[in-house]
Amino acid sequence: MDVAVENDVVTARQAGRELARGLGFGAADQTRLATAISEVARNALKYAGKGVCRIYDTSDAGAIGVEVVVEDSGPGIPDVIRAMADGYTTGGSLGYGLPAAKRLVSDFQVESEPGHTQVTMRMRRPRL
Amino acid sequence: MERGGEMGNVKSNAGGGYGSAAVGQKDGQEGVEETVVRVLSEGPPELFESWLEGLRSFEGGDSSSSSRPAPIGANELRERGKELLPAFARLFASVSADEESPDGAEASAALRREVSAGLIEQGLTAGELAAVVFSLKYAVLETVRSEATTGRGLDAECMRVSKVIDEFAYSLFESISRMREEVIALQQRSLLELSTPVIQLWDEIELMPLIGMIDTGRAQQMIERLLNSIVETQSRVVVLDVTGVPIIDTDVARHLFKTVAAARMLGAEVIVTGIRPEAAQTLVRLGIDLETLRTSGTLWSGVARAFRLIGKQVAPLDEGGQ
Amino acid sequence: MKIPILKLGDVLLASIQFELTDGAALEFQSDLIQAAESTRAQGVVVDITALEVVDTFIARVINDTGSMLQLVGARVVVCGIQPPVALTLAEMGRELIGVETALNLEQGLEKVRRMIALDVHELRESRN
Repeated sequence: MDVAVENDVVTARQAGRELARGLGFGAADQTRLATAISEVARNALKYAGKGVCRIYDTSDAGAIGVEVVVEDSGPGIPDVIRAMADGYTTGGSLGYGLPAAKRLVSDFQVESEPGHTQVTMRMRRPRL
Repeated sequence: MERGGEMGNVKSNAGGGYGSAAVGQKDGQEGVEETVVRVLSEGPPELFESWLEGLRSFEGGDSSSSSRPAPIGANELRERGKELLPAFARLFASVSADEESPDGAEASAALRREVSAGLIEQGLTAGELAAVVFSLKYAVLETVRSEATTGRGLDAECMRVSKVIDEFAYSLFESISRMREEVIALQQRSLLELSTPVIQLWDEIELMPLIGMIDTGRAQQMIERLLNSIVETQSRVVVLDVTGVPIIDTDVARHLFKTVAAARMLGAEVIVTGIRPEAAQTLVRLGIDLETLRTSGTLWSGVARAFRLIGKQVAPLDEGGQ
Repeated sequence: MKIPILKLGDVLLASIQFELTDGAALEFQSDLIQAAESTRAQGVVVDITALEVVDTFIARVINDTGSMLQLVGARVVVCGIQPPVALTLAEMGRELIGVETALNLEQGLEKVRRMIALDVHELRESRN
């Protein structure tokens, strides 16, 4: 599923929540995913003006899973390591909101260079 | 596969049709393999004698203080033996059919599982089972040696007997271990469900006693349950008792902080009770700032504090007897 | 769509009924400050029961709104944070919410009235 992130982050995060709900994730997890998408998508909006959010179902027999990739063609995050450092949780002037999102998901990867930034997030829960 | 260099006619055994290939001697003498199967299926008295003696020596071997009784009495052994020995005989027969073929291997694995189930259900401890199986091995080897009518292939066959029984013992203990793990997992799950109740202590006070190890999964469950309960009961104070939590480390502390923060957003204060002095020392030394955590030493004092927080106190009744 | 702001004596009540886009959030913030100023409100209670997602940006908007309202002389209480939202905020970082909170409107009103009374009391004390 592809969602354009253009004017707001609401569409993307609601799409993520819907998919998570459909796959069987609980309320707490649905909220985590939606919130994480919100953080990351907002970044794309803020620094690149727009972006694309791709949401995948990665479930298998043993676990339910979601993968979300948020991509934009903006100027990029100059210092990814610093951006991911914890001083940014309260969203200071550089507030990327990424460390906060990272805490909510099982897996979090950032690739960034001028012209292309991609954030991949995964959430996975074993089936009971 | 060659045995002692001679392949003779396939003879059926005294025990009757277990399967093919017991290599016999051309001259009608019983081959060693046949001896093995016969010994196992007939269960001659000296086998049991030997078995019992072996069992006793297993037991007497390591107890220095007192001599423990054998795990199994002579009569019980004979009873069990009646069921077990033929099963062993079948195991040997199926293995000897053709060790290389997948059918042979499969049949032996299946038989192993069957025998395992039978023995385990009889309720012996793992140690007792080991004693029974290994003393049987020695008993079989001794008996076969004394009953063998020929020395040809005796050594090779004894090695094979030993190998088969050892492999069986391995699969037996593996299966016991797996069963125990399943039981533990089941108990953990029950404990999980039992040990995160939320108790309405008073109008606006809730009590959540935690028991057992707290891992991420349990912590998750506990926090969600607590938060939902706060919404339902509109409680303003939660007493979280961790007396029953054996280990309070940085992870558990983090969960506690999370709980306090989230509960506060729902308008409820959390009082943590039951952190033992040692745990407190460890946490402070680890650099975890417990200042922001409202704690009380005992459940008792925590509850008293909770009442104060909602503006109430427990007071004696009037002398007049209200 | 504007969020209605109600006046209950010297307290303003606002109940957010749907998911907020970033723009709508900032607009609401501005409306609220103006209303508090023009009505000389002593207290404001904001009900966010309908918000299924509160990320670091919205959290910051909430905190900023609290500070701004304080500057125009009003105490603030936010109520109606949903359990999954509370949990997610707690997971993203400590002290993300810098305003007073309450479970629901009823408790929220009680609390804001207490805060106002305390203010008055402190004022009197400092005069003596």
